[in-house]
Parts: sequence; structure tokens; C-alpha cells
Amino acid sequence: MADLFRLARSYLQSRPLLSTTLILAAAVSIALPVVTNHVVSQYEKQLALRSENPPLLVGARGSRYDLVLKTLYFLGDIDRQIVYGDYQDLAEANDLLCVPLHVIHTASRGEMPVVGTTSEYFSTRNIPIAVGQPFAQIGHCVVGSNVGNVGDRIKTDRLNPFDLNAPSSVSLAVVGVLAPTNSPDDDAVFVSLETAWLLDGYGHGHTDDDTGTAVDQSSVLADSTDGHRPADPVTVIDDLNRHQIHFHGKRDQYKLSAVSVWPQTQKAGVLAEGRYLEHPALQMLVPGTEFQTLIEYVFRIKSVLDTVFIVMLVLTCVLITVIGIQTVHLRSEHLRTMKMLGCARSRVVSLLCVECSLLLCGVLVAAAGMSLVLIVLSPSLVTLF
Amino acid sequence: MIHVQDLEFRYPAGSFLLSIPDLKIAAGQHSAITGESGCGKTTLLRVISGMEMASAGSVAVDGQEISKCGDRELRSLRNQKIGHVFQDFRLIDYLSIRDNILLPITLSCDPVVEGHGSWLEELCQAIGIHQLPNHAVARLSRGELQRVAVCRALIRQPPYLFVDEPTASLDPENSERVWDLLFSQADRIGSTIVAVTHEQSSLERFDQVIPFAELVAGGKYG
Repeated sequence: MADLFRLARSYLQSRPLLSTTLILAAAVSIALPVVTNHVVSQYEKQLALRSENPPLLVGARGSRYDLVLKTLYFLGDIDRQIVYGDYQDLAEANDLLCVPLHVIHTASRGEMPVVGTTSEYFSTRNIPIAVGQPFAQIGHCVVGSNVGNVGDRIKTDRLNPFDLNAPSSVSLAVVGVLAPTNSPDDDAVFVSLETAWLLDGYGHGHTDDDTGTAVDQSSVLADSTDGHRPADPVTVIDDLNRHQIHFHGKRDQYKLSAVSVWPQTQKAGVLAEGRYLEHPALQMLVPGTEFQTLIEYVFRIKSVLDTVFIVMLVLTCVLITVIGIQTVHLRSEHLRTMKMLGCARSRVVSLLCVECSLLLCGVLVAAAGMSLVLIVLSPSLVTLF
Repeated sequence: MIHVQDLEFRYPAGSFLLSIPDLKIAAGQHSAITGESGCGKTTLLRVISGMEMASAGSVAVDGQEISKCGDRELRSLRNQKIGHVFQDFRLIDYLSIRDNILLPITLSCDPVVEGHGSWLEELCQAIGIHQLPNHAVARLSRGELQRVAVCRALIRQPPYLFVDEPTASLDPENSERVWDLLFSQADRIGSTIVAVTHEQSSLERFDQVIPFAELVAGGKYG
């Protein structure tokens, strides 16, 4: 057997281009569907995991997918916001644990979402603070594990850099870092609702002698009676100027993106869903159901890809077969020589089988290596978006 | 002994007919078959070795009737009883010198290579390549290639060596070396050479010279 292995290896080594091409072609045909299936299944798991929490979500009526993607994955945009008063109405029920979400602003040129919420956001999702402390004051933030370290400062983005009347960027102080979660939370900046509303322009800080000017029509305070725009607002909040921060307008009208809801009982959940079934302005949805629909879309695309891969595999097999037949034909003189030398037919066939086996081993090793590399290099669902 | 009697062979698609009334080659009797190109000398060797099947007559090698043998037996006959040296060498270009020489053993029904180690070493020394057995044959000169082919024919120490114009493409010096190697090793192992050759200078080495035309005409040899 060792002799056959040596002879077979000699032949394959004498045709390096042919052997390598065959191995790579077959390996790619195997690796691509394997990697695709693995990656899609990983993405499905990540989506499903994220969609389990919270069980219910309340937001403005409109696209359900946009609402779920924005509030759970911080992706895309939603057309309408709800108000803090909507959250207060919900939170009145004793059997509902409600966590407000304000996902309007970003930092680092849009790469990091700035999420305004309460500390229950972390407890309901079992996300411990690995280093530091929760945000307790305006201007403080807790960041995901990929964002930064305690002591760093993060500057928020202006909503519209070309609008001079828009609220200014604010420099936030990192006071805590979350434990890694392998979710979009790892790349987010979490602030209190007050800090988020500060970024909206509902509040600001300035010295007493800065009376400023009237607010612009595009300002969130355009309808309030006491709103104004300071000439020199506080943009770096610290212990020395924090006392200058104040808010205008009615708090129950301050914007929110959505409210995550954890019903304490099944009955409470059903009643809550019933309440918002016909609500003219708000909708309550089950994120898991919406993600299931999204996953079905993904799997429809995947089934098309699977068909393509099957066709590719069949064509590769046909190609390899044709090359194999051609090779045997080209080697007919060698095979005739072996016959003339009295080589046993069974041994010659065994030799050809060993050559095929070596190629097959090469294909499997190459496919495994390719799959491993591609899986390691494939982006996580978070970085993909 | 090789005994051919009333042999008739015709290629399926051709009109060529090989007809040998009688031929005997005794063991130890080195024989050369001479004749014009295309007269059927190579075909005769192919029929005796079982590569082609006679349509009539009898061919026996050491008492074994060729026409009664199946493919497996014929392969075994060529592997163990007949060593072949071809005009065009017929070495496998991607194998080493060592693997080419050992090919009749490696791909036989009883591939026991260990017992042939010392004989292989002697053969490699005889052809002057004892330091290069693992080199590819592609690097060898034509003379070296034919000497390797001779070693391959001798590796099984067969009773008969069928040699088909082994020096046709070689210069005189290499031709001499090939004939010297063939006869010295054949005498050493007791092998009988049956050669097809045009080379007049080599005929004196043989015990009998068989003109093919006379053989076909009914001349008795052996």
C-alpha cells in the first residue's frame, strides 16, 4: 500500500497545476455552501436571541420592521417618535415593567448609537457593568465593550451639521463599561433620558447672563412658551457647570423612540396588547414574531443560494469527471506499458483509486481549511450592518 | 522452451497475415530475429508474450499454452516469465529511476519488494546509476534511459528477455553498453534473450540468428 501511495503521489506531484486546480475547484464547491449555511444559521441564532428580549415593544404606528430594527439593533430610522407621556401611561400599570428607549442620536460619525434609557435596560437584559458605575448624572455615559474605557470622552454628532440652529454636540464622560454581549449593545453609548433630551435640544446649559435668542421653528421647543436658544451653550459638561443644565417645555411631550415592555403575568401582556390593538397613534408588537418574518425572508434568499450551489456542485462534478476521463485517456500509453509489463489489473485499478483518494483527501482538507478561514473572517451580524 | 507451431495471426482491421509454421527457442539459446521493417517481427514477440491472440496455431512458453490462458494468467506470464525491453523505452516519466525499475514488482499480484533489494542495488551499479535511484527519469540521456529499461526487464530475473530493437535510437557507444549489460546480466541469471534487431554488429553475440523471411517460409529453427 505504501508503494501505491508513493506512485500515486508521484503522479499528482508531476501535474501540480492540474491537481491543484481540481482540488481548489471541488473545495470551493463544498466550502461555499457549508460556510453560507453556517453563517446564516449563526445570524439566525443572533437574531432570535436578540428578539426574545423584550417580549413586547410599543412605538408609533408605522413600519413594524423599522421599529424593531431601530430599537433592538439600532439600525435604520423610524418615521415617528412617541412621547414620554406614552411611557408614563404604560408605566402606570403595576404588572408591566417598562423601559423607555430614545434612539435618535449617534456618536463617532454615526458609528455608535447613543441610546437614552434607564438602568433597567441593563438589568432586564442581564448585562452587567464590567468596569465603573451606571450613568447617574447628565453628561455621563456607560458604553459597550467595543467603544472605550472609563475616563474617555465621547462627542455626540450633530443631527444636522448644516443646520446652525440645531443643538450643539455634547462631550460625554464615560463612567462605566459594559461586559461584552456579542450584540449591538457592544458598540452603543448609553445615557440617561435627560442627557438624550439635552441632545434633542429640550434642555441646555449656559451662564446666567446668556439670555440667547428665540428658538427656530425647527427646534423641538418651537411650540413651548419658555424656550430660547443660548448664544454659548455648555458642550462639555462637568461638575463645575452641571448645575447650569435646565430644561424647557413639557416633559410629557419629550420624544422617545419606543418602550420595551416586560409583562409580569401573561394576562397583563394580553391586556396590554389588546389595549393597543386599535390605538390610533401607537402600536404594540411582539419582536420575536417580526424577526421570524425577517428570518423567513433571509431563508428564501438562502434557498435560492442553495440552488445555485447545487448547480455549481453538479457542474464541478461533471467537470472533474470529464477531466478524469481525459486524464485516463492521456495516460493510456502508461496503462498500456503496465499491461505489457504484466502488471495485475487489480493493482493498476488500485493505483488509480489511490490517486483519486489522495485528491479527495486534498479536497476535504482544502474545503475544511477554506470553511474555517471564511467562518472566522465572516463578520458578525452587528458589524455586517 | 518457446515453441511456436502453425501460428497464424491477422490484425482485425488489416490485411497483414503473420504465418509461422514452426519455431523453437530453447532455454539458454540466445536468439536474434532479423528482417525488413514491417515484416512482423515485433508482432511475433507480441503474440508469444500474449499481448495479441493468435487466430490459429499453438504458442507455448515453458509448456504453458498461451491460447488457453485468460487475461490474468497472461499478465502473470509477462510479469514473471518474460522481461521486455522496448525500442521506445516505455518508462513512466513521472516516476523515479527506482520506481520504474521496480514497477513490474510493485504492480504485480505479489508485490514483495524487500527480497529484491540487493538485486536492485546490483543492477543500479551495473548501469552506473547507483547514486541516483530516486532521480526522475526525465533527467536521463537516451542511453541511460534504455539501461534503466533493461534493469526493469531484469528485476524479476525472468527466464526470457524479449528485446525489440533496443539500440535503434542509440549511438554506437551506448548501443555497445546496452548489449553488454543485457548479455552479462542475462547470463548471470540464466535468462534467454530473444531479440529483434537490425544491428549487424550485435548478431555475433547470439547463439542463433533467425531471418524472419526464412522462418515464414518454413525454415526450421531451434
